[in-house]
Amino acid sequence: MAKSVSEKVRNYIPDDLAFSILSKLPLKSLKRFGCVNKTWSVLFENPNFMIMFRNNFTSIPHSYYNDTSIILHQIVCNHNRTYVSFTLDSLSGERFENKVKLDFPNPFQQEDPGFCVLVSGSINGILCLYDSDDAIVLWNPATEEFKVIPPSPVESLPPYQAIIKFIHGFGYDPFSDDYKIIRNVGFVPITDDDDDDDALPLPPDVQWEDVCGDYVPFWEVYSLVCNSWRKVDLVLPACCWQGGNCNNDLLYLDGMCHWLSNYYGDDNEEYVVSFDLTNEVCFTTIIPTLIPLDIDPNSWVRHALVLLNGSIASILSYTTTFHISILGKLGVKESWTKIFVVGPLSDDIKYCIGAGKNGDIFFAKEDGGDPICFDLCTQMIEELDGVKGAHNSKIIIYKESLVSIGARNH
Amino acid sequence: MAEEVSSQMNSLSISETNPSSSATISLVSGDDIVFKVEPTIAKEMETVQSFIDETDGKITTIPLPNISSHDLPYVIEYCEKSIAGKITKEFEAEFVKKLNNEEVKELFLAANYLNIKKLLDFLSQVIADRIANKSVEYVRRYFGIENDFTPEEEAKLREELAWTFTGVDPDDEDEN
Repeated sequence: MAKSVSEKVRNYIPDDLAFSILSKLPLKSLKRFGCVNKTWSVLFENPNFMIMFRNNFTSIPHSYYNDTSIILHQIVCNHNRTYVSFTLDSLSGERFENKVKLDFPNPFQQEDPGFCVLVSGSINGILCLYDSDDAIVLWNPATEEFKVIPPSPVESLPPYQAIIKFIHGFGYDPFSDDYKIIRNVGFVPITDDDDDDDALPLPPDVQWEDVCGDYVPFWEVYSLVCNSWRKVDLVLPACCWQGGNCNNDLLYLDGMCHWLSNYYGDDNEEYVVSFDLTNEVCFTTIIPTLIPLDIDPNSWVRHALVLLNGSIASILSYTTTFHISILGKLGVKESWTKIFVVGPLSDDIKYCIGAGKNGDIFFAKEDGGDPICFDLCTQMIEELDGVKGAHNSKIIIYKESLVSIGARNH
Repeated sequence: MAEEVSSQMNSLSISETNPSSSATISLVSGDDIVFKVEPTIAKEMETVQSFIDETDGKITTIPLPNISSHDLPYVIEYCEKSIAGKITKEFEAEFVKKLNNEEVKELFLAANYLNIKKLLDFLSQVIADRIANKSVEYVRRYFGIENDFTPEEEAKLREELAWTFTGVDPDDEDEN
């Protein structure tokens, strides 16, 4: 009986209805369906469709953000940088007006404990903290439990060299039920000119050529289950050995750590490096730098890497215009798709300090001005009530959990 | 099938015994099955409500030639929940669990015809989730779309978009 409704009506979905469905698809599916017919192949050039797609992209909440909150992490210096303080505030409310200060743990019995917080966010409620002496502490703010990570046994400190350690990721390996930290260890020569108490004058019979370049940087991974560090061999393009914007553009998603690696070679290309915590292998995705030709060659161009409503996103900024592209598939350069162009914003807005929930992107103003939030849904700038500027501000996604850190130690 | 419909009809006709039944509205499906509903439910269906308004409420039997007696009870169920303010994620998940992709499409088109925005929005997300990993061929059939590419054009496009063709579910020809 139901068949009396005409087959034609039943089988055909008109374009406007089809578009309302397509605008809710993930990027990869939507691109694939570009092969369905000619109209669908140019959807990304269809302004009406893009309005729907952008709206859904920012307004349909990704499960990643369930029960999460926003943490503002700031490093405040006085003018000659003799005093540095680290703050951590949980922000909530429509205009982030509810600000609750979080107290750092104090494993080293300091008068005024302070740390940098790894910006990739909390992993099962655990934040990764580090200080300028390379100490690393895992901390669960909800239970106040913390664990000091033992130092790595760098066999011998080469003469006339300083060691620089950069954490590139902290995450959870679901396969071995383990938490891991990946870090790059590099060496830099200490010169006489350095304003450093440890600097040694180079003996007359030693040439700089003899001490430079012999010490290749390496990668090491800490495992919480083993409670120790070990070296790992990562196959990366030479440029990716450099720290780049270290400790800023880091993400953790589904068992993988991702970071941005700058490269200012001939191609002016930058990479996202992705490290699989289970297999301990990594691979790269080139980010195309599609800068309009009419841009002032002296303007400041940079990328930021953020998680935007659950998708890996690159924010290319020059002057005060921000081009936001999302990655369709790891490892595929062609899968970056530009979704938003924001700006030009007011002249004092300089760079991205992180992304919040849905379409909230946070920017810092120059010279330590107050941070602002740009809402991609409404295209409106929101001031953050009661939030002051700082030397360095970061937005971190935090999800409370009562998971114990120590219980995993064997 | 016929039994199913009559049992649904019975459950609906029970409500006729309550005092407000004098104001019930009759919705007639494309296959001539009559469903009696409370007027409040008609308010959820903009198409039905404007029909009633245009006739000053004199006509309470409304033909819905594009909607089958298979789909109408689902639409009514959703509208009842909506009026009661009881649309939850759990209800929605349960609501579509028993429907195959073709049934979801019919319901989506019915929601469009009746202009029920909430149901339309919900079902468009359900369809998006269900087709996300489907093949290009499946989607053409599902949307009733003719391929207007030449074989060369399509091959070139597929090559450019090779990265999107991983993790595609095999087509299930039996599904309808």
